Amino acid sequence: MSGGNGFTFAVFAVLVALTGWILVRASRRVKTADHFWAAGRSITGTQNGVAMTGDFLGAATLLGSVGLILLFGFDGALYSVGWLVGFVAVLFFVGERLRNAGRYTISDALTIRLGQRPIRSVIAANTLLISVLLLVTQLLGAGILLKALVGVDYRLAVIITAVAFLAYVVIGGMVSVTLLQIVKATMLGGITLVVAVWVLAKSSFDPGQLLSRAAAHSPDGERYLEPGLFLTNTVNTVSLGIALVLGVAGLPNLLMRFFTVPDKGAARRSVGWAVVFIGVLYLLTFVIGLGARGFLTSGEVTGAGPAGNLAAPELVQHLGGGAGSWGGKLFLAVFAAVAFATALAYVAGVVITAASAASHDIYANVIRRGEVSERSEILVARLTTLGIAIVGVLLAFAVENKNIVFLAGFVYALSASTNFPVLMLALGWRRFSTTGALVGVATGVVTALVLTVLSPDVWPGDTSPVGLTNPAIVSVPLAFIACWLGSVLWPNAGDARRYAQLSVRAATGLGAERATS
Amino acid sequence: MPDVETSRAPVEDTTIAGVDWDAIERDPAYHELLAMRRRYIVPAAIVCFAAYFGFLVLAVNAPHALGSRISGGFTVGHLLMGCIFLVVWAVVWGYTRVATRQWDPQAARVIAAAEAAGAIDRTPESPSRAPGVEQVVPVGEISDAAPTSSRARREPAR
Repeated sequence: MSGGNGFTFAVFAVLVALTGWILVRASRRVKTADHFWAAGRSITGTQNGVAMTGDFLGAATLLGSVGLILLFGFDGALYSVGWLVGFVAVLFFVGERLRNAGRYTISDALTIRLGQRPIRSVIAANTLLISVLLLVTQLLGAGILLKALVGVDYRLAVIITAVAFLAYVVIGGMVSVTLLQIVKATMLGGITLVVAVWVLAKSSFDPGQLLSRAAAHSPDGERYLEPGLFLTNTVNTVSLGIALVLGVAGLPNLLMRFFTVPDKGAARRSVGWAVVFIGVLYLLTFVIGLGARGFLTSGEVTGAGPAGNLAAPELVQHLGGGAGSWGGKLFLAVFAAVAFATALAYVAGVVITAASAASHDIYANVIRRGEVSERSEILVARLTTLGIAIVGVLLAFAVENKNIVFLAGFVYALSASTNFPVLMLALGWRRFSTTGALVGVATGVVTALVLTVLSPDVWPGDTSPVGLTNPAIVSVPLAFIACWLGSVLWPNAGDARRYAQLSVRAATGLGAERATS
Repeated sequence: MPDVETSRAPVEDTTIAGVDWDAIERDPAYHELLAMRRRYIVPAAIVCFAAYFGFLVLAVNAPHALGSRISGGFTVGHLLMGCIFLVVWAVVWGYTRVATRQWDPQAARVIAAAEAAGAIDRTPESPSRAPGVEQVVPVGEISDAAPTSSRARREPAR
């Protein structure tokens, strides 16, 4: 794939001007902590649904799923289906109940009944861990993408991305992050729709014909149209499914979105719209992946890389007229800009979540015990954002040229084994105690980590000690058992007494935080 | 960089005092609200998750059966995958519908009953410190936003 060209420069200039304008507009509206962390709770359900789509779809997710379909056909789509089902878990088990009871972070809701300092420390540390892992995978993706499409050095690309998200988070907080997500999701949806419709047009708008053509061009032939090219083991597949579905329901950057809407109705409408947008986008990526398989030349398929991550840009260039052509260059430049905006908005959402954990939970509520002004809480948030950016950039440098595909599965397993059990039990089980939550989170983190290290994807030797490729099928039940055992062995009368307040507030919305602008 | 208001309001405990939560929890109307939620969520979650995990198990164990052609390259497996999308959209649509039509009015009834029974303590002498109560009034409405400075009356930090 060719490097930079005049079009790339022009398209990126337009992107920078557009997002810069958003930034300036947003910064005027950031006046209080409610604005900085929750965009004044003034985002409508529809807007938040679009923003949630942006928060959920990173560049790596999107390019990755097109690549998976190029390589594995049917099985490549199973990840996307799992994530979509995960939104049902978000809506049913967390969504509006978290919106009703919380203020800026998950801990704000949990500590209505559980111990302030231990819970905030542990949940915030876990949020930071999940956020940094998500940040590194996305920075790596952005670096590789900019290197391939624009021709800048990997490290420079990572730094450019980091400086850009720093500007967004530090200056405009959640207001600008939300606007950025909406712009990104719209651009992403637009380009995905155009490419998918183009592919369908080349197949006479007959999915059957597109699928036949893809199978005919696949080295796997008929098997491209049936399961079995990627996922072959029942236990591993179900384990991955559990991680994807329940992991979504514990993902901190997604859950923070719920605090930006005015009420529970808007919270559930957000999920409703997000499920529609994300579902349609996934269907479009399936079409694009099949198009890449059916229409790319063998040279172009090689250019898509061993994991197929550059399949989408290769297809875009092919549709524009091929490498070196006028149309190919223009399309590639537009695609590169959209992909960059996608990665940028995603990391901005992740970083503001990490900053909320570090500043609102750890600094304001654990270290200063709540005796802190909003002004200094936001100042600390801006400083920690800088710190998180530096850590992310250094880690992204360290993982250059390393295959970290397993990280995505691990992050979802981690989220499913920590935040999900704690949220479920805090909202639904009266005898759940602070100690139970701490024991549960520790068990979830340790089990997920150890099983991942011992798994075939990570273990350096030929035969790994554990055959399980994703830990969720073991770590999620163990985390629940540990929560139960910890609560039974170390019960807390206060935690149980305050259960009424959390459950009534979560179910009725009584006393819920309201919009401020 | 925009300046943040010099609010000295401490960022503190998120619990709200002045409401008799236990009394609300004992209210049969509240039990009915929880039962209404369960009546939709439990069966819908079972259907949705059973469909997804059943599909996964089927995909791994009967790949060739799912590879049977329907039209062109469109197979039984693709059809089933499409059904999962439809199930997800259906249960999410059903949830938003039943939540708005049944649960929200029931939640409003629970809150109104609690107010009538005196379980929610209005403190007129310090209105700015009891928005946990003010916030009750416009259930599901956002028209009259409270000023930022008015925080709920908090219990002392534990």
